[in-house]
Formats: sequence, structure tokens, C-alpha cells
Amino acid sequence: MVALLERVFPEYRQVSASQIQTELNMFRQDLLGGLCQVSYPSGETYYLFYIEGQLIDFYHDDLQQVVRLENVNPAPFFAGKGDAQLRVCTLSPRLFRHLKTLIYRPREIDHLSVQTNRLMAVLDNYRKNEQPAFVHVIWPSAEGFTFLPGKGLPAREFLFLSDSQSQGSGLGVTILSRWPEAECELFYYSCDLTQEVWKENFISLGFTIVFEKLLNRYDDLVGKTLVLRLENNLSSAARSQALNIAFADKSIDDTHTFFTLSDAAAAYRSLFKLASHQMGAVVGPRLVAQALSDALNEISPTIFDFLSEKRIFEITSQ
Amino acid sequence: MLYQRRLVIFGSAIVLSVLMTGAYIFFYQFSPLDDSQTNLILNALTVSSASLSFVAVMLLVLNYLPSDKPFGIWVDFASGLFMWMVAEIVWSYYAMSMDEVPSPGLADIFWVGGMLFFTLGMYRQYRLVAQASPKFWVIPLFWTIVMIVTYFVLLATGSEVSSENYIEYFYAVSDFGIGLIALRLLLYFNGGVFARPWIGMFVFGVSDALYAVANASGLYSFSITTGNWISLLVDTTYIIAYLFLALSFFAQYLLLRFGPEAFLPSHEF
Repeated sequence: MVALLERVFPEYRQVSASQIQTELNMFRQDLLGGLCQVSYPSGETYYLFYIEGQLIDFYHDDLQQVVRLENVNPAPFFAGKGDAQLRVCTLSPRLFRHLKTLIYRPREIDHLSVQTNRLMAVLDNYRKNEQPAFVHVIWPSAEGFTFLPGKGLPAREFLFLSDSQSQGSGLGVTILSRWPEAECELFYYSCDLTQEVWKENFISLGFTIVFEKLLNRYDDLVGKTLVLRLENNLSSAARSQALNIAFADKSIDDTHTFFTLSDAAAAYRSLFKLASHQMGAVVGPRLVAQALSDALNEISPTIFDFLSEKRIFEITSQ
Repeated sequence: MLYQRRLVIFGSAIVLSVLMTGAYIFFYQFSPLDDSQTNLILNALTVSSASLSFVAVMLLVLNYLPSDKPFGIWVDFASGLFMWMVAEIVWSYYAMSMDEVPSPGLADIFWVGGMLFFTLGMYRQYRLVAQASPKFWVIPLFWTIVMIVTYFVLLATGSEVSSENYIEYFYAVSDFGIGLIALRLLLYFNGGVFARPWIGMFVFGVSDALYAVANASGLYSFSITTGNWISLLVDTTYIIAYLFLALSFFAQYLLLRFGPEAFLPSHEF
């Protein structure tokens, strides 16, 4: 597995079990966010993801497999485990799914050394593949991550980390080709629906891609005034449900971290239901259904099947 | 609250339309004033109803951005209804100042011009909803078919082949054709507020079809002479068609102004 964030967060500390507990308690009390990595001499590693002091995900990698630990209180968990290497990465929650994807050791399909100015051309080529994939790009002092949804769709959820941008940023993927370091390593990973993180990836990617296509089609039919109203209503509904999902300019900024896949499915379903109801009142349910069908036909069959299974985009008669 | 507010505003518009229709029927059927005054009122009501539909579609145009794809559609309809409003004014002037309105005349130029704009607007709308790109020549093809069918309808009714009779049947056939296209568009938007303008255009088709049937059978001129209900029905549906169109554009304007929440009760929103 490619070393994670070594370029940006190279600092490890030798700590005792009690120091680990102190560090984790500090995360909780100070409402900190980011990744705590605890590595033991045996090679096993623990990854803890925090948002505002709350533990969101807890993984154990024993070099054989990666297991998500649930209902575990982390501080006492490490009590009898001895000394370890600790690394704390202060990160935006936007990066979590990308990092979790790498933690699960996805199957590496391709590994290239690429000139930075040719990177976009390489990504364009990968983009045409039918299956969704994950791309990790590493420079000497920066890393980039992006998802390729498959079936020719543009790269999504691009994130970039460097010494000066250690929080990650939602910039356009074209920034990759403007990074000053001339060469990079590109890792191309396949999707794997047996891994929980890929289900999270699919549900988030699928929701944003399909919904954005719906909004674009709605804009064609009704114009910007009504699209803006819909976006405001959706953003308001998301806020009322304490979701970090914003709708603007016919795009969705989804930075919410769900505890479970069911929570995500329920949230997305309710937002789509609200949107389809309002769109249907304006242009009629037939055009909404047609727009949805067209949008679903443009995504990868793998993501489509998953969304269908989770019934995210069901249209119910009003 | 927006829902109730929209109901009050739209309800007021419906009340106005009903009052105008009621006044038209009253003066048409009972003629409480002398002929010239009655004609003035009836023509004023017709011109007013045409004007209301123009004003309503202009409200729509002014609430779209020029970059919005529907903007061009409603500019076409505004142009068409402006021409029809002018046509009604010209025709009313002729009707009140001359013994017989010239046919074909200046008013017909504006009516036909208005129809050309309507077909252009419907062509744009069809391209948008069907996501199809029919070639632009379908518009001249449509009008060619209308003109040919009009000729054959004229022959079939046994009417004298004159320009006056031709233009009478031309309106009926063209409105019917436009009504069919409107019905097709209505099916796309069925269930949504955006369906309403197409209902309005379809109603115009029905109105002119009624007139064509009554005129062809001679019932219309007989009814005018004897004052029975047929001419009243035909002429009243004409004004109702304008008012219906005005209400449908107004509904879409209210949608743009207040949003879909004004059309959904709060428990559904």
C-alpha cells in the first residue's frame, strides 16, 4: 500500500499507551478534527477519524485485512497495547473518504510515472473506462486524490494536499497540471463493492452526479429563477436536518460525514423526494421522471445498480 | 403563507375574468343599450381580454433572464399576442366605423403574423422538452400543410372559393393545428404549472373549431340574425380563450415570482 500522506505529514512520534490516551482525549475535549494514526512494531495500524472531537471511524489494519471497529471507546482501547508510533494529521473531513479508500488497500490496476503537464491527458484517458476508480497522485511534496465515476464522466471530489494546503481544498482537478513539481507517481485503483468505503463512495458520488444532472435539466426547462429557489429550499432542508450539504450553481457540495450507510441513504432519499415533488409541481412528473431516467443512464452501471438497491431516486406518486 | 397569498391573487384574477365573461354574455344576449354602445362594450371586452393575455405573457418575459432557455419561447408568444392585440383593436375599429369589416384586411395581417410567432415559440418549446432538434423547415412545412388543408376544407364545405371565405377557414384550421401541437406539449408538462399555457392554446383551437363548424353550417350567421345561443357560445368561447390564456400565463408568472411553495400546501412542501 502506498504510504499515506507521508509527504505532507511525515512526522511520527514515539509514544506510550498512556500518551496515546491523552492525545485522543485531547482530540475529544478540544473538538479537534483529523486523522490519528497509531502504528505498532508488529505492523498493525489503527486509524481514527475525528470531526469536532467526535470519533467518526475507527479502523484496524493488521496487514492481512482492514476491519472497521464499531462501538469502541478509543482511549481505554489502547491502554494495554504498549508503545507505538503516533501521527496526527489535521485534515478537513472532505478528505476522509479518500483516505479510507486507500486504507482499505484497493486493488491497484495501474502505477505510472507521469510528467505533471501530461497528467490531465492521462486522467482523461482513464476517465473513459466503464468502471469507477480512484486515483492517487503523489509529488515529492504534495498529493492529490480524485474519483473517476466511470463511463466517461469527469473526475469528481478532487482534493489536493501540500505543505501550504494541508487542509485539502475543493479546487478543480486542473490544478494538478499546474503544480510546479515536474514529475509525479500516479496510482489507479479499481472500485470494490465488497468494501464498505466503496459503498460510501458510490452513494455519495451517485447522488451528486445524478442530482446535478437533474438540476441542469431543470434549468433548461425552467430557467435560473426557479432553479435558485429549488436550491435554496434544498439547502434549507439540508440545514434543518443538520446535513453539511449545500446546493448552489447547479452543483452540490456534499461534505457531510454519515455514521452509517443507512443514514446516508435516508438523507439523500429525503432530499431527492423534496426536489422531485417541487420540480413535479412545476414541470409535471413526466418530465421529472424522464430527466431522472436520462441522468441514471449516464452513470456507470455499477453505481446505478447500487443506487437502485438503496432506492435513493425512487419517484413516488404524490 | 405564500400559498394563501398566491390563492388570493390568482383568485382575484379568476374573479376578474368571470366578471368580464359575464359582462360579455350580458351585453351580447340582452343588449340593454343601443347597438353602437353595445358593440363598443363588446369590442372593448374582446380587446381587453386580448390585452390581458399580452400583459400576462409580458410579466412572464420580464421575470426570465435572457440567458434562460424558456426566455425565447415567451418572447415569441409575447410578440404573437401583441400582434393579436393589435389585430383586435384594428378589427374593432373597422367593425364600429364601417358597415362591413374588410376581409382579408389589415387585422388579418396581424392575426396571421401572430400565429407565425406562436409556431416559432412552440417549436422552441418542443425542442426543449423533447430534447429533439427538428429541422427549422418543419415550421414552413406546417404552414404549407395548413394552407393546403384550408383549401380542401373550403371545397368540402361547398363554400364559395373567395379570399374572405379562405381566411375564415384558414384561422380555424391553423388554430386547430396549433391546438394539436399545444396538446402535445401539454402532455409533456401534464401535472405541472408549466402545462397551463398549453391548455390555453388548446382552448383557442377548440374555440376556433367551434366557430368553423358553426360558420360552415350557416348556423353562425343564422344565429347572429335571430339572436339565439349558438353565436353567443361561439363568440363567448373566443373571449374565454383569451382570458384562459391570460390566466395560464399569470399562473406561471406567480410561480416565478413566489416559487413552487406558493403552489404546494405547506404540509406538502
